[in-house]
Amino acid sequence: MGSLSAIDYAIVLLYLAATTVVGLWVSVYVRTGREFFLAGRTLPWWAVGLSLVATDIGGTDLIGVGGAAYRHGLAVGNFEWIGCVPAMIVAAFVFIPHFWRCGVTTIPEFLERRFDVKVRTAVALCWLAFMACNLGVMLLASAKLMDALAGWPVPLTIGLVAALVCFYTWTGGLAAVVYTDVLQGIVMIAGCVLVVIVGLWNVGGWTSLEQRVEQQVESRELSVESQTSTPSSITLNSQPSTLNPPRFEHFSLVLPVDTSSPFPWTGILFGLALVISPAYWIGNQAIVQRALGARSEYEAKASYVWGALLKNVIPLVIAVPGLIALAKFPGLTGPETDKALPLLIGETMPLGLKGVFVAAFLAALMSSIDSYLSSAATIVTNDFYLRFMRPTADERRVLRIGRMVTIALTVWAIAFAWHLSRYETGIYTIFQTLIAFFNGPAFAVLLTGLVFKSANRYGALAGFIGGVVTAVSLFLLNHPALYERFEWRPLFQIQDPYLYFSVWAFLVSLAVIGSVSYATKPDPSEKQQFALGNMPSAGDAA
Amino acid sequence: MSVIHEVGDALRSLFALLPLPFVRAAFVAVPLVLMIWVLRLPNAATTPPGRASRWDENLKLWAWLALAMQVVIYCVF
Repeated sequence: MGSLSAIDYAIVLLYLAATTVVGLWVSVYVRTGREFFLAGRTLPWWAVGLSLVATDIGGTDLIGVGGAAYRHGLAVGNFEWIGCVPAMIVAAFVFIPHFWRCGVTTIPEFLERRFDVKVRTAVALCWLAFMACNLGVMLLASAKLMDALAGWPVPLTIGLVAALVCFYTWTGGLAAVVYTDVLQGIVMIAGCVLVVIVGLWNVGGWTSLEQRVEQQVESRELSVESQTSTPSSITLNSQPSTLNPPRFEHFSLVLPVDTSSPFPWTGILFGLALVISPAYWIGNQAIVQRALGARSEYEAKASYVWGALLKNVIPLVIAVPGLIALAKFPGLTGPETDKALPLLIGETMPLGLKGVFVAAFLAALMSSIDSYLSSAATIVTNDFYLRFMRPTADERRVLRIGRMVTIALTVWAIAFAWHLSRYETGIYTIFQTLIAFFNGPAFAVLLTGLVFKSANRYGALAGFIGGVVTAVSLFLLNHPALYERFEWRPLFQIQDPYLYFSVWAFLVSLAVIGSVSYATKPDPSEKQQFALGNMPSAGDAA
Repeated sequence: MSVIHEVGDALRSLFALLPLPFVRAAFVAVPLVLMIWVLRLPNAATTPPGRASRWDENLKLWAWLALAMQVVIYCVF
């Protein structure tokens, strides 16, 4: 992207200063543990909704989605469209109000009320391991992108972002996270909208973009075809392009099973829309926690509906720049495609707009890191400290512990990022697939507990363990080290088949929960009352 | 090849038989079905409790709009 001008730096500094001021302003109102972890249940719907969207899009997503759109087209938008909106609407009216009425602070806490402490601890441990690792991974991956984007040294970005995020999360807890997310969400969306407007103006509008992308894809595929054709095949088939015209998928959301992209419709519909997305919007602590901090049950519902409305425009502002980059700079291949967006911004953005985009990138990064930091601190304090060590701790002590855990997790994240930086990129992409191992099973446990009174604690624990084992087994069976040893071919035909890991792990969990619950004695009725439909509406928060 | 490979191949072949327009219709049907469900929700579940609400406070409208946008998106692309 090239170096930043003084105006660009001024814009970035203005954004960082505004974030700090918002964080400080909110911290004045935090006096107790309840205010630290759930903002005292005072958050308005508009702030929670914008925070949901900002949290969901990390710094790496902002660049990575552009790169994926460059390679595979608009199908990457499925992750924000069918991979978010339907699940958010169902969650808004069915699941979120139920959690809000139960008055819980974390999803694992709900699982203890519905099942038992073993299920709570197993799920809390998995979420904590994932969040703690993911903090380091997000810091490092984004710092490397910042290096490519603006030439900032990796340790500088890691140190600056970690210190700033830790400061406002430490002082203001969830409220600071949500209100800074509002600012960060606005900066992020505005920055990306500017890139789309300037980019589309550069390529001559939407119709011209479609034509140019189609030409680039056709010429790229014909070039690959001519390179891979043997002399004999050319003799036998003198017009291969006429007989087998290249398939143009860059403006299609629904791709066939045999697509060369990682987004065949089977994975998108069965894996993303039916398992991963509901698991994320209903069962991810980092997401659900802010809705639990809404000032009323109605505002918790409204926040999800508002988030769903916003989600409809997100792919247009984060995926379309990748297509514009393809039209303008068609020569990128392999890992180079992740440089598509920085290249587009460097070549087309006028003075000052580079700074807006860098601020947008930092906003996306910080809005995700602060959420995972706050949620990980909540799980440590609520599901381990308060549950096992000091159940009678007063609110001030809980606040003190929450803040200490926030600092400890930040130090861990910096150390983990530094440790990972000594390895190849592949090692930390493995950590990003960690969530696929337990996301499906954790959702199966939560869903059966909510929907079926007959699901019991034995089934829940066995189902969770069975699902995780299934996901890990599928991962191993698809790993070259194993399938090459047995002279098999890969189990899955697409790259990164984590959507399929989650589907199968979810299905196996459901089967195990059902069969073990059927074979063992049911839970007492005080546990079953936490299923859906048994919790009367409590109205607004006290 | 293992048994799991056989199962995977069978499923893949089965899904490959489905015409893409039929699959696209399924993608449009997901938000369409939810739009009908949202309209059938009781008003008490979609409006602020304890007082008369304005038309724009009814969450049905906005949820319906979010899903209608999905229908348009999956019809166009």
